[in-house]
Amino acid sequence: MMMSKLKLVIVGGGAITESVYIPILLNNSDFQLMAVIEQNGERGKYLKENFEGLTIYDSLHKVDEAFNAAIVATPNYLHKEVSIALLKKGVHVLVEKPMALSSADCEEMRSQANQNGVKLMVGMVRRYYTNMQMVKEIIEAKTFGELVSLSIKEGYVFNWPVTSDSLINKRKSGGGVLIDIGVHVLDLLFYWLGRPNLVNYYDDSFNQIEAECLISLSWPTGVVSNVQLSRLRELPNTIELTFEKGVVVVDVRPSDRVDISLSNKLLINGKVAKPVTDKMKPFKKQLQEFSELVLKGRVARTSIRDAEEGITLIQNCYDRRKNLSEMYQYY
Amino acid sequence: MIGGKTCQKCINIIKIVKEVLEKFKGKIIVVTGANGFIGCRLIELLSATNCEIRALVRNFGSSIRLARLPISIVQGDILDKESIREYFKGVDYVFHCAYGSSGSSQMRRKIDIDGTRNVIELSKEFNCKGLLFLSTISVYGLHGVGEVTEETPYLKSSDDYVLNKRAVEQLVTEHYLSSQLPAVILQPTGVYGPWAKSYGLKQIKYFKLKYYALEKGVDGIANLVYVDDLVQAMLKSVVNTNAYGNKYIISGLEHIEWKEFFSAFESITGNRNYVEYSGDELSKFYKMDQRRPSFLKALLGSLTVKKKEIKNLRKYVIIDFAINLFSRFSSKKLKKNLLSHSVEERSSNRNRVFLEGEIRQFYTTRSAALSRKATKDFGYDPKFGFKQGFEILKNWYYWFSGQNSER
Repeated sequence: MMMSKLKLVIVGGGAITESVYIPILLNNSDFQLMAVIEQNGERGKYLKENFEGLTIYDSLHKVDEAFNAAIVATPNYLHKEVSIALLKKGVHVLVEKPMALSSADCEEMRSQANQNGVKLMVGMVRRYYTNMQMVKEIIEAKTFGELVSLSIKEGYVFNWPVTSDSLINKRKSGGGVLIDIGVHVLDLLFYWLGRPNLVNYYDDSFNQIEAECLISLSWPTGVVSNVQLSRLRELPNTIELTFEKGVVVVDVRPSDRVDISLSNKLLINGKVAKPVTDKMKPFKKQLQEFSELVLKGRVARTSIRDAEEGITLIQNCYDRRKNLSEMYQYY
Repeated sequence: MIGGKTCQKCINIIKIVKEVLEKFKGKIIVVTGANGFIGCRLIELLSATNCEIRALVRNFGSSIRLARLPISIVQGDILDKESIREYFKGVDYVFHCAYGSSGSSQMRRKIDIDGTRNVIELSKEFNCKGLLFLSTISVYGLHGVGEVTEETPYLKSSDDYVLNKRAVEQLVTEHYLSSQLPAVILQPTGVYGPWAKSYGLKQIKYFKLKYYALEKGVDGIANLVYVDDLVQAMLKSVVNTNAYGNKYIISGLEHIEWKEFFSAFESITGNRNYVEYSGDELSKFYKMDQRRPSFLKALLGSLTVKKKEIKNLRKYVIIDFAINLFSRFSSKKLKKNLLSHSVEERSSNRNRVFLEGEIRQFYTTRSAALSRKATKDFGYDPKFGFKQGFEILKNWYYWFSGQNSER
């Protein structure tokens, strides 16, 4: 029998589940949220108290109603294990970024999906930001001529009231700001320009979790890019694209702002069309595409191949890391 | 080398503490308040040697700096003894840097006293070799002139922070006297350096909005210590059995005056951080600025501002907010009349602040805190003069604020 809508479970009751997935999926007629799986009893209780009608289980095995799809929003190190378990059961999976901690794990996940005839999609929500789509159009249409270089600076003071050490424990997170935020940035670069070559990678870790990193990339077309990421300080949080005929600056966040400086010194401060009024919209769009991928076989904007190559690039960065000689690195 | 290329001329702190760091090799060290400004810097230096560091934090989310280092970050509440017991197993040295920095007055006192008691009891239970408690120079109160040493009496105080620190000192001393607890108390002066809040980021934020109106020829002594000098004292004292049962003032290499301190920040803020007036001018301007509250009362009606009940600094924020609000809706003539006495503030968009009461006393006190006892007993040897320490703070701030982010 044809499925008419996705019956979803969410595995992992962390921040993104609480702030994004549950609010979108509860009382959404396009989806049926069957349950949230959260191992931590206190956390599960908290979610149950805060979302009326939410069913919580502490294990996937305890879900007694049938479901056909799952969102995997566990700590990073569990993405592979949980996704494969679900794929083997014939469940379609939307796995949060990063897809897994190694390219081998990504490949295994992809082949499990193929073997079991189910869909696997990776949550790369930035592809759904209007401003990022605009950038892609500008690059492809050569509106300002050929792209010459990109400079991306994204940083904020990280101080989330996280409930576990999954983001600061290398075994669980797989890394620091590069795998957490950089995975989004690299995915956008894949989306816009295809696979880059790694030129240099620097970070501030002592073989642990980096808080700052700097990545230099190049493309066969001659385009070069510098990406600076931080969890310790506020950076401009902008993407600056230098074209032959001008410079375009957009925010890294889902913002309407776009500044264009043309070669004739004309500066235009404008707004991205179709402004983002609902911060949840990119996530809603992503979920909608996941649903269409499963139910109608439509290709999603996000790409498993790109996600996998992104992880390969991140691994490559860590393998080739050099010390970042910044002020905070005292000795 | 401290820092990168911007700081190559700086003092090599690792070289300075190399000898004492050797004493921590193979040891198990617990640091409470590990993600604070001082705790984190201590761990950065300690992690240069081969020891097992257990960094106790309340929130993993604010442990990003620590997570770069090869240490164990453990979550626990010092008020819940059982929740932190396992981290004290086999411990050699404890650095107790945690204190009640937020929450209600009662909660802060509870964290300070009950939390310290738990740390003491666990340290005793696991036969810890040395404990270090961070107190503050503020326990002595504001002595007008002369030297402040460990013999200086504590003045009467109603400040919760001071009272709690004194209570903690008493608790530690009682345990030393009753059971030879191998504990040392350090009383640092104002600690500054990269990541400092009170004597760093907060000052910068403050001087971006305000400046001081100070009296010509009147200045107080700034008792300050650069963070790495304090860490040097922490490392040296906790392993020194002669230090146990004692309290030590930890001050910097030199004493400067507050006007020099305020001026130093001008290189960061780009503004004059104080203006000097003669005594008469100061009184005149002070009276002018004091007129504002009565006007504010009339303007806002229901919003009652009781001059005596609100603290000086807060008062100015409220007043300026009200004037700005009023300015939007008032005629040019009325605005001109109203603000005629505060042209200076308006031209710079920064608020003039007069020092009053305890704040004035703090910034005009001419007593110098001395670290002679620490030098004599455990070889404390401060290395950072103010100019040198501030240069590091400044370069760090440029990096932190994204003004100098090149690799």
